Amino acid sequence: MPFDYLLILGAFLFCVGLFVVVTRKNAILVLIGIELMLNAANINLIAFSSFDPNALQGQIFSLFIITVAAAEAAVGLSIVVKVYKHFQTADLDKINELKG
Amino acid sequence: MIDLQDIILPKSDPIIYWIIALLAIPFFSFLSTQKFRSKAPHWSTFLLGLNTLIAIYLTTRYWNSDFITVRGHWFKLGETQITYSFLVDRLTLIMSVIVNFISLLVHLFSQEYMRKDKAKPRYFAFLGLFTFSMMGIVLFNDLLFIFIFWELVGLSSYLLIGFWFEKKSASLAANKAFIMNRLGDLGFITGLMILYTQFHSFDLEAIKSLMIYSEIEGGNWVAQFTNNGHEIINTLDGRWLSAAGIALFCGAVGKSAQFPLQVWLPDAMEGPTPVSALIHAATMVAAGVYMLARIFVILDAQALEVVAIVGAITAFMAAIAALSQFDIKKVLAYSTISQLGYMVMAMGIGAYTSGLFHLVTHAFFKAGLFLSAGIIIHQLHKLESKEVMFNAQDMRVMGGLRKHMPKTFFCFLMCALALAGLPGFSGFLSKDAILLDLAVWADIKGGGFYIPEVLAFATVLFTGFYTIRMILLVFFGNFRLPIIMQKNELSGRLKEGNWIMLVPVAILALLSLSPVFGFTLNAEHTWFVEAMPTPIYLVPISYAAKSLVDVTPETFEALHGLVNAVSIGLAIVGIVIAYLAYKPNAKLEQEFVERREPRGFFGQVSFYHWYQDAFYRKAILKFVMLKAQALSWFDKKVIDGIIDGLAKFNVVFAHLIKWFDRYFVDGLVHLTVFTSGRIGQLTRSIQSGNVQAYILASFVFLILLMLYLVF
Amino acid sequence: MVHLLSYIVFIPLVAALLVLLTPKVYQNLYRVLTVLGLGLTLVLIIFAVSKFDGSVQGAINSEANLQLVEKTEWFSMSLGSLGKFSVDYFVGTDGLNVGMLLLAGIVLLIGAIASWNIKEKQKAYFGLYLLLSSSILGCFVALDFFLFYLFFEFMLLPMYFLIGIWGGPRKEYAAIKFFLYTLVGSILILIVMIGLYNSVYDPVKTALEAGYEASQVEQVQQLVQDGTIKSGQIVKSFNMIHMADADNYIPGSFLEKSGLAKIFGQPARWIAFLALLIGFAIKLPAVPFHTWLPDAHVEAPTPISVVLAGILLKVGGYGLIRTAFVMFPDSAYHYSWLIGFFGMFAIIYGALNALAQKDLKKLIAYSSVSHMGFVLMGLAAMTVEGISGAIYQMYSHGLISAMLFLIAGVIYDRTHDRMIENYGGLASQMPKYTVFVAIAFFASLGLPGFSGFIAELMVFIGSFKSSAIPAWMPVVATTGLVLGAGYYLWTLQRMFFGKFWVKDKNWVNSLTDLNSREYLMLVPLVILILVFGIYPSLLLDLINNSVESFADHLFQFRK
Repeated sequence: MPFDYLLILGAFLFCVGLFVVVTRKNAILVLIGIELMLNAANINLIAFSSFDPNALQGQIFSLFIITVAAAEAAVGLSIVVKVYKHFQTADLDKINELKG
Repeated sequence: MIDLQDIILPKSDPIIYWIIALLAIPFFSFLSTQKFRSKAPHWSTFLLGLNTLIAIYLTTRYWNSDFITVRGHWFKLGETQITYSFLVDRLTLIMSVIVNFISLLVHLFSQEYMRKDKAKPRYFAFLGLFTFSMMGIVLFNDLLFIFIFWELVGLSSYLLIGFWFEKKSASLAANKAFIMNRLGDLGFITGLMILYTQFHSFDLEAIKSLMIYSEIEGGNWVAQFTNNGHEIINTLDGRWLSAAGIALFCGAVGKSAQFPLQVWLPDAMEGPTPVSALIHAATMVAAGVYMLARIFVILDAQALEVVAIVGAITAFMAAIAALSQFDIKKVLAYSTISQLGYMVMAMGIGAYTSGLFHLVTHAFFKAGLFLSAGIIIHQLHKLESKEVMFNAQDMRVMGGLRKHMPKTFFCFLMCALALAGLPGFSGFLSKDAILLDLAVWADIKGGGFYIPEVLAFATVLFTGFYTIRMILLVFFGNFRLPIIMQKNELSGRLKEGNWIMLVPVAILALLSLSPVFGFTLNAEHTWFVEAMPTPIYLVPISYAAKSLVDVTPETFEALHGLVNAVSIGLAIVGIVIAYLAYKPNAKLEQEFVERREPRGFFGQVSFYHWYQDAFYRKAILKFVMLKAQALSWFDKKVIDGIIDGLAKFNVVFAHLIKWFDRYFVDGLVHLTVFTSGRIGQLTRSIQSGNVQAYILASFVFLILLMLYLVF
Repeated sequence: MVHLLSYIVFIPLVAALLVLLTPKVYQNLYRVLTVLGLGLTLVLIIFAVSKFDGSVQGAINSEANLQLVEKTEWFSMSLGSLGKFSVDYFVGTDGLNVGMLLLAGIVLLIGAIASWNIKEKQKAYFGLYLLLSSSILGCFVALDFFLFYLFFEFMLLPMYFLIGIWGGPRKEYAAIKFFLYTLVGSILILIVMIGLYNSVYDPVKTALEAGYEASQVEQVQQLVQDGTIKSGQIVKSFNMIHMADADNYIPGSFLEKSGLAKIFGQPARWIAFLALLIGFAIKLPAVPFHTWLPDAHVEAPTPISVVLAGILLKVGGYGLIRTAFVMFPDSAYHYSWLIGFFGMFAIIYGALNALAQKDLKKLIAYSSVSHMGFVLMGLAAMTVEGISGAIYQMYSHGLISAMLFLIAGVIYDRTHDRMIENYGGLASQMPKYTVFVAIAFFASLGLPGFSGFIAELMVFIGSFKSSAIPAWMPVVATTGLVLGAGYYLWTLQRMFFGKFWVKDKNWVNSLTDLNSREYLMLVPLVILILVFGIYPSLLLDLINNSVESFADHLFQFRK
């Protein structure tokens, strides 16, 4: 498989994730978008790890990221739950406490 | 060169145990008497009896031996050793016998006199304290310790005068006595300062030894000696030598009630009468004379002149004051002052022996007079009841007591004749000795120094007058109290005092007879005068007075007959005038009862004791109190006012600063805040609060940044 | 017991912590803890005093004179070319402070017992009291000026609250007045302290810094004088002992002995001395800086009055001796006339003011002013007798004034009224109390047999002997004795003698005689006053050598 395909897949996934993050109103969906972006980065890491056949640092690193992403998702979800409880909504447009 | 440390080396002698006993027994009486409650009088009298026995034993044992010094170190100040020292010589011995003996008699007498007083344990305890302090003055040979006990004597006198503290007049009199004594003590302290500065010691032996070696050089008083090998040369202006003597004499002025501090003694009669006998007649007031005797040799000519003149003035003034009193104790008090004046004057003219002789004779006959008066007062008090209220010391209620209390009368008469100075009584011997010395002294000095002689001889006349006046008013004529109260039954109820009171008085009356001191009419031949020769002055020659020791016996002999004749004559003249004026049913005696106060200028001056008291109260006391009030005002208003003013100024200033701070400093701050606030207003609109917008924005800028970096 | 003095200083502080940690449920424990803590401190102080060897001889400006010394570097920092900044934890005793230490121990314990019936805000009260105790003790033993000043300032804070919270009706006014007055003094002291710090170096530390042995002090001093040792190597010092030695002043520095530095045309050393003099005279207090004292005393609760009169005033006198006189003997001699005059003036002025007072506590306060005049006069005399007298007077007045304020407290506790004119004839109602009042009054008016007499006598003979002040001063000052007798006896007569009478009939039942706690405070004081009056060697033997070397130190500068 040509190396470029992997990069294109990664870029596509990233764009999808970014699109989800920017456009969706529901905070959970935004989190899913972030997960997509992370995995896009993982694909890139794995792709580039083919240049390092002995140590496979990219693959190990992506494993690490997956683990951290799981934890991060858990934390993110619990924050969302807390936010929901506090504001009675998960609509990001309505949660604009930082508005100046 | 003489070394100070060698003089004040510690010295010990077995006699120290006796000395300690003499001091400790009365002190123990003071501490323990209150515990014995109703037995207190017996207990303290027993202790005093023991002490008297010790004193008599010591006198018999050591009378003919050389003087004995005991010395120890008290504390150290730098290089200087402060010592305590005792001296036992004939003067000490005789004084300790007199003090203890009279104290014992007064203890005995008080058994009856204070029998009904609830606070009598306290009374006897205070008597113990007094005897202790008085023995301290007598036994110590160290000016500092004499001063310490001097003050303690003042304290016990204060406590005893104010014994009936519920009486306002008593507590006021106590205050007056203490403060007047303190005034004199200022002088004493000044004297201590001068002598310490010059000689680095308070020990009298050291002071005397170093005084011999001190010199007058060009108007300066130079003391040269070594201390621990260090050579010391102390130089003071020569006038400080006289000042030292006069300053120490000031102490005696206070304690021995001399002009101008004598006003406390008449008031001190507020105390119980036995106390007056012991403290304010026989012993404490004589302490001043005793102290003068101790420092006699270091007094220079000028100081001695002051002493003599003050003594003469006191003797004369008090004799005048005694002429017109109503209160029997007041008469006795003024006569005490007058006689003390004689003694002090004697010291001043250099008649050391005669002065001390008069001290001794006076102690006996005056104590006897006071105790007899005490019997009269005590017996009169028994007549008091709710309906019959009177002042038992007032001679206006007395009269004719001879018939009611003949024994008291007899004792009183003997002591009174001794006071008047009639031959056959002790007072004659001692007073004559003083007058003879005075005549010689005046001849030596000449000029204005005849004035003391005139005053002293006039005093003899007045003494005869007031003595006989007192006897006539008290013992002769009719008993006036029943007449005044219009209750005839009172007359029958007045009885003679019981033997507990009579025995001490009788003993004292016997001791007022001249044979006690020798079967002679010439004081020169009494055992006392022969035992106590006048010492020579130790001050530098140019400052020393001319000693009477150097006068030839012939000079004395030549004057003796004349002085004798004049003094007896004057006394008799005084007695006769008094008899004519106050004999029963004489004009003055008749008037006497109705009078409130003496008439005429002379009478007033006499009655109010030259208005000295009034002057002190109106001028000095008022001045001090006004000054105190003024200073208090000054303190509160001016000093504190300045401080408060400063504080207020600070507050006003702070308000100014506050204004400046708020509108100027704070204004700048506000400006800054305002500016940044406006800028904030501008930028805040960018903040939408939408997380997604932020993310988008950051991506856009990230991409732009990357584009910038790449291209 | 290596760190004996540290134990003495910090045990009250530990007790204060314990008080703070004890829950409020056990609030009766506070006073027990306070008394136990100060009791232990007193035991240690007595132990320290018994270990103190009065025969040690050494110059007042050498550390050979000191005993029970503890010295460690507390902190230091290098200031580059300006040399080195160094502060030591330096405590020790010599004859000048050993008596003060003993006095502080005794009075603090008695004050703690007197605090027994403080009811409100107990935790704060006893905590502050212990803090005060610790700083007073620290102030007396500190030999580093920085440390001394720290303790000196630290006394202010607890005192301010103790007067301001537990005081009488005008407590705020009194507390603020006290605070501000003392603070002004402190500022003057602080200024001089900084000036001294800039002028004095530590020869031992400088030697080590410049690469010499610690024993080569004299050589180093010479090298500093020559300028061989540069300023970068000089270790400046707050050491009070070094400050007393003229050789330890940096050449050309502001307060140098032969310095030419002038302020307002006057030599800087004179001005510095005056600043210290005023600073400590406020604390003493000397007329005309005394007006905080009557207010503070009247408003303060009894135990605080006791501590204030008993010890705090002595900090002023002690400070004068330890700093002003030891460090500036030349200036002290120059101003001795002035000091003597103010001493004499204070004696008479205080006594006359006392005569005019109607409030018992105010009367006692003014008598304190009068008695502190003796301290000034004795110091101005600069003779062994005068200085011993001044120190003895501080000691004896500490005991006597403590007793006087306790006595005023007894009557105030019962009726909450201190006006002399509202009482009469108390002697028949409270005979035992009257005995103690009479003892205290007679002790204070200088009756022989009590400690005050010894002190006043020594001051008098010392000042008369002195060539520093004229002879008329002590002679005039003796009138203070008569005035003293005047106001005390008059008070005694008005309040205690005569027929029993009080202004308010309700008081009659509350006027009971002394209770056992009051005996516990008064009897030891009476015994001490008597013991030190009859056997002065007890204290004088301890201080004699130090006083002698102090007098010698002062004497060097007389021409």
